[in-house]
Amino acid sequence: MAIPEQERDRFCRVLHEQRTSLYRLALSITRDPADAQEAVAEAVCRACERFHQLRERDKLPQWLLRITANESRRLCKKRGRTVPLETLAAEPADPAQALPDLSLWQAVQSLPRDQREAVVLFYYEDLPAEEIARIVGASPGAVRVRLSRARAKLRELLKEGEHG
Amino acid sequence: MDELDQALRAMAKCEAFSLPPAYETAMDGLEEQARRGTLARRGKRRLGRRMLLLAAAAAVLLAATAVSMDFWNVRVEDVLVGQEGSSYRVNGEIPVIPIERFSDAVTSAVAEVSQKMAEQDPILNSSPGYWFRTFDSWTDCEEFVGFPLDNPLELTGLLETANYSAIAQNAESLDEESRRHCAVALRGNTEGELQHLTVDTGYLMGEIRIQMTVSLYPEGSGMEPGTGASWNGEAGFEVTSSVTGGGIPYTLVATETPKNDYYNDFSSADAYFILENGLYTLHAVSPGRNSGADVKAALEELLALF
Repeated sequence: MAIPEQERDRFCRVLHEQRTSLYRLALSITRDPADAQEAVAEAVCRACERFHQLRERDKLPQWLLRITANESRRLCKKRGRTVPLETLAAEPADPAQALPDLSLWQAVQSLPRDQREAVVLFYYEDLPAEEIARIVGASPGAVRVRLSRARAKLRELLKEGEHG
Repeated sequence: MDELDQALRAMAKCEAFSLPPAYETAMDGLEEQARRGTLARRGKRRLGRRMLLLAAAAAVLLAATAVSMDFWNVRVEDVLVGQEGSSYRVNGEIPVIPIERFSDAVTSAVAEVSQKMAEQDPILNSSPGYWFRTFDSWTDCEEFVGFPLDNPLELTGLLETANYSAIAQNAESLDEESRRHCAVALRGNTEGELQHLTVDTGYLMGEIRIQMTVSLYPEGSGMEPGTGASWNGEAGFEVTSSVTGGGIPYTLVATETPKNDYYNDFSSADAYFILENGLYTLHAVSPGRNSGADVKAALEELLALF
């Protein structure tokens, strides 16, 4: 089912505005640019197909993020079975390699996947824990715990980076 | 939000993040197709046999829940169980609160949110409109909200007070703000209207962590009421219904957590019920996948207090 004609312009505008957010979220989950692109493309197709299910039109940006997160995780799961050993050896990212000039994005790469998702949505997208919970499919409490753990780790990493 | 959060958000805003040209091109194409109404899925996925069986089981569960919905007034819906993910939604006849019942402090917070939203760039901030504050006590939260919120957990000797996420308040990983017992989160819109307010608080019952969330929906809210849970991987949900000590119907979902690397080894259960003002969620977590019965029993003991 396609998007109603009168809604298409808005959908495209929101999608355009969300390009970076969707890709960054997908990349934070998949850690692979090609997979991130595929996840976003698949998410956009799904969003078009299911647009009629979106009851709150003003939540379109968050809805797109949620679908993108789901597609990214699905792709990770699929890739998990066939990922080459040499790729696995490169993970998890070693933030120490990036020191002393450590960016937040580099530091985020050293976190576990659930914390990366939460951090990207909280610090880059300014979303509240409750909204993040809806997107990642966890309780707000669980999101806050993830953020708390991520915050402690980021504080440590960025401090190391400063004193590098 | 503490200084570190503010610093991290500032760093996030300043960091350059370039998109791959191929992605930009692909998105241009998708947008064009969406505008013309010609965008279609690139091949359907087929569900595996196991997933279909689980979906059928979920459908039976849904049917049973729907039948009992009128009495239990909280319903578990959209139950999905699959190898990739499992989830459910909770909805019900959640009361709507007249806006004048909320305190002036809430009104001020919403005005602050509205002003910030007007100042923010909607492209950089995809979901402004959020406000969060922690409090030392439940009474402080009630005072902030503007009316009493029933919480017998504050009075029982069964529990030890924890922070709002149900982590021991002396945990070294917590900063001063995170040690507080309660938290209020609210969402407003550009028109300065309150959309949703939640109050969180936490307790410990031995090794079992208990978090309670009260969701309040004001009159005129555009937000979809309800809550839910979702897991990566194949979870098992056992749904039971009963009444609290005070005769309030509740629905309890005991979750068999997925056995994968994504989750730590723990058991979880959630109880949902509606009191005078809003939707209550009691969330309990205990270490060990075999402790599900303990978690459920703990929740039932606490539900007897309501």
